[in-house]
Amino acid sequence: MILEAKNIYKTYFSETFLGRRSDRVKALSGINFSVKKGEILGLVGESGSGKSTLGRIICGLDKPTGGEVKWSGKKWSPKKSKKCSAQMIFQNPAGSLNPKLTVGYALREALAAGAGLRPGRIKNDKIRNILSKVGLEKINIKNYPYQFSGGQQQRIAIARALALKPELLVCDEPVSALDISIQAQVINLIKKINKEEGLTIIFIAHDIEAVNIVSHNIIVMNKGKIVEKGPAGQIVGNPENDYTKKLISAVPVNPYYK
Amino acid sequence: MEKLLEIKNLSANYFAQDIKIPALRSVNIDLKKGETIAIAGESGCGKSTLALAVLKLIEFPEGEVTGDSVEFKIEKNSIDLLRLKEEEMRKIRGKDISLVVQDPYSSLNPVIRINKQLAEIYRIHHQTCEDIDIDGISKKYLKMVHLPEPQKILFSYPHQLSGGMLQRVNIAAALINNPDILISDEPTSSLDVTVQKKIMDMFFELKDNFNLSQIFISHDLNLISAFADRVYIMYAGRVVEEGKTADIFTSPAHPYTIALLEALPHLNAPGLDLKSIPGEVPAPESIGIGCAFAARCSHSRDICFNSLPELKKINDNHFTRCIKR
Repeated sequence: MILEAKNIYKTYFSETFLGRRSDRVKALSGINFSVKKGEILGLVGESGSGKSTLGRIICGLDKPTGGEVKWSGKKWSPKKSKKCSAQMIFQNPAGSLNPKLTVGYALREALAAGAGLRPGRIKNDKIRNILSKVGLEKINIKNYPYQFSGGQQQRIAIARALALKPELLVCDEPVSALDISIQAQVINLIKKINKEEGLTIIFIAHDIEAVNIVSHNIIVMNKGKIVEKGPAGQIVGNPENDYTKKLISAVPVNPYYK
Repeated sequence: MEKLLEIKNLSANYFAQDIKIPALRSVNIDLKKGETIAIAGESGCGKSTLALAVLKLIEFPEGEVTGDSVEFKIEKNSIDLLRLKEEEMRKIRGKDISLVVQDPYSSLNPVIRINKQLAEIYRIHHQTCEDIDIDGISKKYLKMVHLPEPQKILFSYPHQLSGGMLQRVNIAAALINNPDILISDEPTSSLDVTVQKKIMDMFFELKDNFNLSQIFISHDLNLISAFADRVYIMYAGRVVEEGKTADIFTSPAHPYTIALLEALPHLNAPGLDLKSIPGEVPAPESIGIGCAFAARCSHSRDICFNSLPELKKINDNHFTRCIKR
């Protein structure tokens, strides 16, 4: 087990202007799951199901209100740990890359942080090497993010995450902002990275078709709870929970598909 | 069947910093009475521009609409929308041809209650001094789109409703004047799948029970395959393939359509590698004279880059713009 989430709760409070806590929104209530090394775990659910909150908690970007996340059996706190165990990829690649940094510089910074060196010590070869992993060996590394298309930007974001040699990659809706033809490129890339590098991946999406293509195991979430988990084929082919059934039957089916 | 709308050689350009961006290039589309056609393609292919161009919602200095004609048959008369003046066009928009746009949140005014917004749309096209029960009419249409508690919704503000409910209100607003044609531009793509399913069920009902002619614009091919009678596949501002839905999905002819169908993830095929299309959609201002897809196409030859292929007939309804055929 590379990662175990035990009984995770997350409640958001909205505060009045005097600082008094008023409304509470239960984003997560009692989440238990574990991720095996080298697996792709799909988290699927509709908007408001808490899947993104869970991804952020795993990466240490948010603190859970209750429960804990354990890495290889140990409790992990993002402040104390020097090694980056988890990296995250977001839905909007244009927003997650710094527009003022060239792609080369952004990757150099990430590579330096991963190796514990100053950015000046990182050679261009290393940058090229990391870019070749995401199929972008031919791009000009002196270009800025806006000079690339959405699909290329998402690959650069993936390359930057890989530069830190994470144990786990959390992809939060990585393909939902991309076109169908580009979506297939990024999905295939994520599968390739998992196969070749043996990287553990959590793939969060609302699109059960995309999740089904990518994942070994799927967790279905609804209203902050896990409603069903299991191998991808079983969840899609033979769902037990009513909500999962509803989700799958809502997917438009192509009557001409062979 | 009688043709209700016939678009001939319609083009649209946007102006940006002294350059002309051709978003739509000589598009021919026709819509028969009671038929549902779908316009499919990736972002930047001109499918939303088409909706705006038909309703002449692109104006100088933002852009321009040019072309031969947009023939619209109304009560046995045929009028050319392209030659209409703005005042006359205003009488058609929202009455004879309605548009539902993608984002339900931004298409309603946030500070006006739903009943007033629906009433405005009705009143603009029914100018009478008679005392009419406008809330009653609105309620009837809200019921038609399966909104629970129409009375309560009528007196709510848009922010009090969810995305799915707002999109239903928008559809009700589009239907309130009994249009001949309903154009919906990605009506469900900002909604969750279960909500999408409910909205689509309603679209099916409109199609079956009200004999409405619809232009359905979407990037979701699976959605289209179940819904449309005929499909137009667009790429970089041109229609590259058109035909009956069954023909397009069982025997696609254009390499782009074939590649697009292979790139779709499907529930019945888990773990299978998807076939991706190399490269990306070219920017509209950088497309040369040849086939816009040639640079990404695995069958392309020199001639593809140098001359535009004619629209070729495969059967009576199925046409494609590819040199291979």
